[in-house]
Amino acid sequence: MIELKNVKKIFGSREDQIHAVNGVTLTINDGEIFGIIGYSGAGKSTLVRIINQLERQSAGDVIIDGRTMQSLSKKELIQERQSIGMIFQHFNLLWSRTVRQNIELPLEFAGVPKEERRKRSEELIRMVGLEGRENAYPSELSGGQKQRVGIARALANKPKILLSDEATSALDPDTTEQILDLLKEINEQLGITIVMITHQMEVVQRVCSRMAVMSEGVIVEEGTVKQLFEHPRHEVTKRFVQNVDDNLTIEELAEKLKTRYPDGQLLRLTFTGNNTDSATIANAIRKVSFPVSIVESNITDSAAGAYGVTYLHLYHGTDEEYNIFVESVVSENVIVEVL
Amino acid sequence: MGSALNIDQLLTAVWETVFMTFVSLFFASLFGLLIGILLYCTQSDGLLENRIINRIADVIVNVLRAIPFLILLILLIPITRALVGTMLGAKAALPPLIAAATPFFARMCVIAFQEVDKGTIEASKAMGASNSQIILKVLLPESMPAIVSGIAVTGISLVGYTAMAGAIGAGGLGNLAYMYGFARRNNAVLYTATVIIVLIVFAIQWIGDAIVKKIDKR
Repeated sequence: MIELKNVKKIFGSREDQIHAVNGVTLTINDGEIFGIIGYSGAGKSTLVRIINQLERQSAGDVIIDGRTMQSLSKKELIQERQSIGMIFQHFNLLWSRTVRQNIELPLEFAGVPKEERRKRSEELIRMVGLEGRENAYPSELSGGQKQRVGIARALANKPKILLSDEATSALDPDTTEQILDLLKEINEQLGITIVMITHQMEVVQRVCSRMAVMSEGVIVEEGTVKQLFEHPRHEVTKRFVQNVDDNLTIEELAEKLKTRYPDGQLLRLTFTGNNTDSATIANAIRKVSFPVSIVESNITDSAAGAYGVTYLHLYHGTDEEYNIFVESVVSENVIVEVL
Repeated sequence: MGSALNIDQLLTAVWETVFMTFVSLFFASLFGLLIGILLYCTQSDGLLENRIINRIADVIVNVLRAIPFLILLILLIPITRALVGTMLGAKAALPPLIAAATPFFARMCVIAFQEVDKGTIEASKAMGASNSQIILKVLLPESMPAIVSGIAVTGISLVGYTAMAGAIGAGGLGNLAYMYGFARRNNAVLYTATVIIVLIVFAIQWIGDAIVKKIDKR
């Protein structure tokens, strides 16, 4: 269990202070995939670095499995870090080492004998699907393959926690999905706790069970992914959950759409994962005779169902017909709002 | 007056130049690397941040680099005498050569280290590496191409320095070119010595480039 208690981090001089993390209290349970989402500058990267003490907090406690991290000796901290893996946005592999040598690096740090290192790296190469590439150098790998090496390296010392700092932000959408699926698989097979820092809603939607939304150094909202999708309260959460455009607030987006589509009706559909039939919109369209167009959408399919928001424009219909459409959608456990 | 080239003399001079260059290059690389690591690790946000040690090392390196080599040669005469017992011959040139090349190479090491991706250092810390492990297993291998280039550049500078040292009695091709070629107006000796010096410089550059090409997997 990871417990953060009123953690603060202040950067800069006395005159020019930046409160990167400003009093975060958070509990992350064993075996869960916990997402921390926020825009850049929200303090989430600093927060994750405080967990393994790459950054030392200015105030507050970090307790992992009952051990208070900031009071560990240098030697104890090194040992503790060997049980906390970390993966990075830019992979941070050593160009001078092959895939296998990169994976064996943390084992070398831990003083694992050569033969055992070799055996362990074989296992890990198989686990992340890099068979045949063990003697390649990072410069010969694709981004997805590099992150697989990063994941294998992070798992080498059999950690109980994996910290992921924007691990999919530098990858294309397909590769992102593959890496997320791999992380999910690792979480399920090894029971490892994963803390995911991200600014991509689809990352949280796809793999996380619980999430926290971070803004300006504080956690503005926390709960299960489902809860936050169904009842986002804070403006930043709403922007992540409902928005399709990072540069606009929900209200601004609604206004923009209303000016663009002055006639007919504009609907916001929020999918929260419990709709059983993925053909919700198609089913509703079949019941009416007017045209429907999807104007904005950010739906992500996950194991639990579809998550995300879709904006629809209905036109050339009567209010009665619009109601039939809405009822059909609502009957499939999708939240509908008329704009 | 020998108008013809004395082969034995020439070979001795070549050997002296090669000896001075490579022995001093060896020690300058060793000491420079250590001082470079010290400078890099003690700088702000370094592995062992220490402002005082960093300032002191920095000032020493800068002062040594600022002194022209010819003056350094003279200034170090007492130290050379104490260490080597004489101030003449190729061996006597080693202390000033090393003293001149070490800070030069140390500076290049710092530049090489600064080019190492900070992310790999951070990742190593996150993996639970000690500082010495980070230096030996990450910092040095990841900066090796730049360090090898630095050694080659330092070696080339040293060839030039040996010629200067030669002019004041250290032997070698510089001495040969100056004493026999220039002072006795023997152009054959002057040009031969020059050509050989140029060839030694080219060889160092070529070997350096070849090693860099071989080890750089980026």
